[in-house]
Amino acid sequence: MATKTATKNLTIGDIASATGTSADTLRYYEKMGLIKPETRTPSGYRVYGSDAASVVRFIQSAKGLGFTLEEIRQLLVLEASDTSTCADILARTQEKMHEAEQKIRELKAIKSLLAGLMKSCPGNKKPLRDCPIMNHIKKADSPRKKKPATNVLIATILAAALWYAPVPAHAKPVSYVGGTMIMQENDETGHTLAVDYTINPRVAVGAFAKRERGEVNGDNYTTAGPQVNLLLKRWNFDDAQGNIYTSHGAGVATLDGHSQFAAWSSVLADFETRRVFTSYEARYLSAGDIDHAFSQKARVGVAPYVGNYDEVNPWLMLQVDNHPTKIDNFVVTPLVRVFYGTNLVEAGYSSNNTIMFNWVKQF
Amino acid sequence: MRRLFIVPITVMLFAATAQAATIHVGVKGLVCAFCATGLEKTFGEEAAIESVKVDLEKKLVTLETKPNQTIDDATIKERVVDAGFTITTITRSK
Repeated sequence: MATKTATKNLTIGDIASATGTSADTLRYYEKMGLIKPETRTPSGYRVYGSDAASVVRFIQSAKGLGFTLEEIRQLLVLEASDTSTCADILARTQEKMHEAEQKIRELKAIKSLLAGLMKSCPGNKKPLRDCPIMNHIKKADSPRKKKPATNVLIATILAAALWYAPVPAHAKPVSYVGGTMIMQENDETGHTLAVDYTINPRVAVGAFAKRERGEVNGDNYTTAGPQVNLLLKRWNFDDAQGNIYTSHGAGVATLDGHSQFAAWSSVLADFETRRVFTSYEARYLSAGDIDHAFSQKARVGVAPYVGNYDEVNPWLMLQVDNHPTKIDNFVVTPLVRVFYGTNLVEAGYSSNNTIMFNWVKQF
Repeated sequence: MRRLFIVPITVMLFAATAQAATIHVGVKGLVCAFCATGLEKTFGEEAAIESVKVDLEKKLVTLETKPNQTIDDATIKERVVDAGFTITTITRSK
């Protein structure tokens, strides 16, 4: 592109015509340092080299990818340098992708809000002052409220703190016969509350509810229904235990007042000693036209020291979530897990800037 | 003279039967606090059990029975299985 070939005298009009842009735009690009005429005629007219059109097309293409003119100027500098590498371009492209993801999230939030407003509007001949859409827009003049997601998280943490009738954060889905477990999770996939009761060594039944972050279209929706957890296989070793569980639930998914039948299934395998923990979970959710997606997560953890069960037992863990259909395909969460008696608490921070806070209580 | 012997022997025998027993149960798969809690609660529901102590390090559950009461091996095994574990040994002492 930047290779200079034959010097054909091209006017600003020629370049504008060849690239489908305007002379004013080209002058603006020049002002921003993106292009430069090779010379000027005695009467002051700009004369461009034959590569000028390629540079303009490069600018247009980069703009299409969301790069600003300043960023494009930097790309052109890199392009002209003999020492630039692919890594230089990749780093800038990654930044651009994160920006695009943020915009997508914002647009999805707007879409969700618009959908809710449309549903709230009867669309009849009521006067405009009774129109819920107009009233919402008018309310927007008032000071901005905190983001709903933040409110939900804070409320959940407070509820967890107040209702500290503890539960184990992703502990065993099947505990001991007659045992009840409450589990509450807040992470990048949403907010979960599950209660289960173990009826025999291999089966626990309970209820599951989750405020999901949609895998397919990013809308937040709620799923709720009964769930059964089955212990398929357990290996008890002298100093270790391995398990394979499966969970199945069915109920209702609700998005903006619109409900659909939903069903979900998951498989969980874990292996742990008192020092090392590993687990893998795969989940599939089908909720009609609201959502349907596969997700999986894996964990590894180590205990810095081992204590007895009536002492505090800390764990350092790393969780990797994979959502093949989501923007954030892979999310990594370093976390700390603490066991104390019948309580388990986990806290972490995910690579997509989401706080993880889980707790479990066993009765 | 005979009474002098019979009375103390009877008292000793009665005392012996009224003693609480200690049962050590070796368990496989004990790796976490929840495991210990499960065993504690499971055995805690047994009428004959006075106290339960779980040692994760030694993989041992120590049961103290109430005076004059006992729990048989089959019940111990059943309770351990209910809690999700496997028994290795049962040792009794007075």
